[in-house]
Amino acid sequence: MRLLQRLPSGMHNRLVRLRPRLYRMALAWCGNAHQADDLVQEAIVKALHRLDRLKKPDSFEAWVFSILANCHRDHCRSRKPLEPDGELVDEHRPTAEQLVDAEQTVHRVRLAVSRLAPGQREVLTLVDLEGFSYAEVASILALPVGTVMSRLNRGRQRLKNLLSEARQPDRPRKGYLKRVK
Amino acid sequence: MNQQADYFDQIIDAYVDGELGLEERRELLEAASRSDQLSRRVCQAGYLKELVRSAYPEPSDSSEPTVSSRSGWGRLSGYAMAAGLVALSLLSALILMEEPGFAPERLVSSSPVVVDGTPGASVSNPARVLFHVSSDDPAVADDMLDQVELVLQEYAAEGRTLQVEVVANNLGLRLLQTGRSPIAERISRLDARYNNLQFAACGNTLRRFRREQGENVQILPQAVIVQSGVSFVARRQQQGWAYIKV
Repeated sequence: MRLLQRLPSGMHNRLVRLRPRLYRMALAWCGNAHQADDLVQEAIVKALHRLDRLKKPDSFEAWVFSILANCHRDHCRSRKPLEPDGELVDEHRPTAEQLVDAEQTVHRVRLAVSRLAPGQREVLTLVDLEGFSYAEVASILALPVGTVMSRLNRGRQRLKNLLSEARQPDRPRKGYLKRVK
Repeated sequence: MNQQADYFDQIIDAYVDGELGLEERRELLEAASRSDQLSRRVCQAGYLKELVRSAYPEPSDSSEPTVSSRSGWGRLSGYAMAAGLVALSLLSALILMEEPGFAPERLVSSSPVVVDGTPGASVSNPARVLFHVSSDDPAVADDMLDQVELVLQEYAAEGRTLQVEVVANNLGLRLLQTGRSPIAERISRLDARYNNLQFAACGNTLRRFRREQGENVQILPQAVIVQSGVSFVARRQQQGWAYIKV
């Protein structure tokens, strides 16, 4: 709390506004709400401790995202070696087919995103959810821009394939208009 | 996958992510206007991006300031650039539809339009354009309606059949919200003038606003409510509608 109080008010407001966005990103990366919350908390605490290292205040948001990415990577590294790192499929979730049946597009997409390789998932979500440029993503993840582009491309190819696999052909369509002009 | 295909995929990625310069975008759109396959890939890439964005909704409402306003489209270089992009996309889409090889029987689904009560939907083989907006930015909305009006006027002047739909989801829903839409009057005027224009609001977004923010959003009387904006877009694309993301 004392760390927070030390923040200039403008920065404090930016951090407050950033928190839900960090959470959304962490959730997309790790697929678990509690873990996402922990990651965000950890990233914010680290950011507050290292605030004097922030060179460009304008890049505050990208800087905190880079801390979040490092926290996530540390977390992945600390997991048991046999635990599959690339796919975060929760067995308790419904299968992709069940989800399609229920027309839960959101869950279907999240499931597919969770099955991307971690590096692909990080890049894709930073670009698609936060709208960061390739150069910004490269800076956040400490990668060459070319790697960002190739991971993004491979990630999207895989995502497309996963979503195609989950699509059920010849599904009867429901009427979807609730109100007519 | 060979290297050339990878390379070209990355160009398409860069296009949907707003990373291409004006000339590069123009080149890509020109190439897409000559190739059904390429135009489909460009549409699919844009749609995939939109699917991901929809799967992780923005965590706050439109009152959230600057941080949330960044997006691949918005970041390009301002509204003028966005308007130019819309214009180029529209041009590309219209060229596509008028290609001799572009026929409904070649589409994934050749079934008639599903939406009951959509004026003009059953007209055989009209030009069909779907605009998709997920931003509540008044400048973007105005640019979009400029394009909508332009294409409606052009087709009307030439006596050609055209069906236009505008679907709004996420923050774009605000554009169709009674008492809040900055373009309500213009929508009303366009709706009265053109029978072949339909506005649609995403029901999922409506429910989300109600659930997460306790808001009971009322939609303009000129708009219909569809179950899911994203599914609506997917269906229209399957039916061969030209898709323009604003």
